Amino acid sequence: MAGPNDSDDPSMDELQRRRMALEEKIAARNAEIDKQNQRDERQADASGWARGTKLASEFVAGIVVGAAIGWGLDWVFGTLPWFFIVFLMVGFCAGILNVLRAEGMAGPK
Amino acid sequence: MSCERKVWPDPNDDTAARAAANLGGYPLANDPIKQFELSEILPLEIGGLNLSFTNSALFMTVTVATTCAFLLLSTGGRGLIPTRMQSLAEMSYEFIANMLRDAAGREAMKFFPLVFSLFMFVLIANLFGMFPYFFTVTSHIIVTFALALTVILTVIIYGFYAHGMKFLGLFVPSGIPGWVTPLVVVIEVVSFLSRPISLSVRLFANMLAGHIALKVFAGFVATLLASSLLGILPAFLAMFMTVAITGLEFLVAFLQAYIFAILTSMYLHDALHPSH
Repeated sequence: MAGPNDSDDPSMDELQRRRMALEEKIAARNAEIDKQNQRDERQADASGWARGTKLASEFVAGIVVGAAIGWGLDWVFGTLPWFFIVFLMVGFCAGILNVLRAEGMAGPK
Repeated sequence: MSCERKVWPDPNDDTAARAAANLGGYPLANDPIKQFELSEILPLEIGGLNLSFTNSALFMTVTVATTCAFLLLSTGGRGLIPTRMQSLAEMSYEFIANMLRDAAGREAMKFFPLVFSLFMFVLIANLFGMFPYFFTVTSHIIVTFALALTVILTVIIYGFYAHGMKFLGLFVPSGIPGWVTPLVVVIEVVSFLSRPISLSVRLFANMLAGHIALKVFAGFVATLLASSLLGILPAFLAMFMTVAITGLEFLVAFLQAYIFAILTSMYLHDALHPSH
């Protein structure tokens, strides 16, 4: 550190050097994070289709089961449209609940 | 045009001829649905029930046999330093064991044989489906529905066996006002019953859609090449898509087996701890 310009402040040079080193480190770190983010994004793209079909099947399954139960009750009691209508709505609710639960937006019971 | 036709490989020609015969002479190069057709290998009828040994049954048998052979042969050596195959078997064991422990807790390990069998069966069946001319067992909803029904019946039977009537507490969430309870219970019951449907539809739809897409794009290659000289460039694009979709299908094959296994673990969690 015994350079010619350490006469006015001896620690200035040292500080400058440290700042450069830190900047280099930060740049390297940022590049690494960027690369990781890109990798994550690509993975998310690949599993996006899986996520989509998962949510779609959860939603449709609720409606189908609701409609089937309603239709079955109507078939037993001979009240054709009424149970079907009510349970179609209930199935709709169950489908929404399934989707929210699958996405972790509603607590699991 | 007539000289282009000679470029066709023989198997395609054969398929086209058979498809054309089936569809009333309509000249279709590749019928994307044909790969899912069942054919009877050993016709058998008992008491009016058609119990024939079909190509689906054959591939289920082959799947189970392959899984057993893989696990038995690879772990037979029991080396302290595992061979490559033994390492693969151990990795699949630990993968499912960790997943089950994380999702359903330590006491869920008594269901490990069920979850591991389901995972291996679905995975190997999916991967067998990736071989050309092989039958994809999991592309039939009755197969996936039977698997999902096994899971849900296990949950219901074990739930009642272990917790008795307290298992019904699963359908009554805590902390809601009394007057909405009946409605919420009905919704919860429907939601619970929809699980086997969504579980089976998801696996079946993924395998069906993937194989149809693969077949359609592969069919484009042959059709475009046969159409005219202008078709050569689009044929290359279709070929590229076919290769890309093949890669994606391998991913889907694994991912769907994994999703099936992890959802099974989550449902087993409900059977073990219904009060949550």
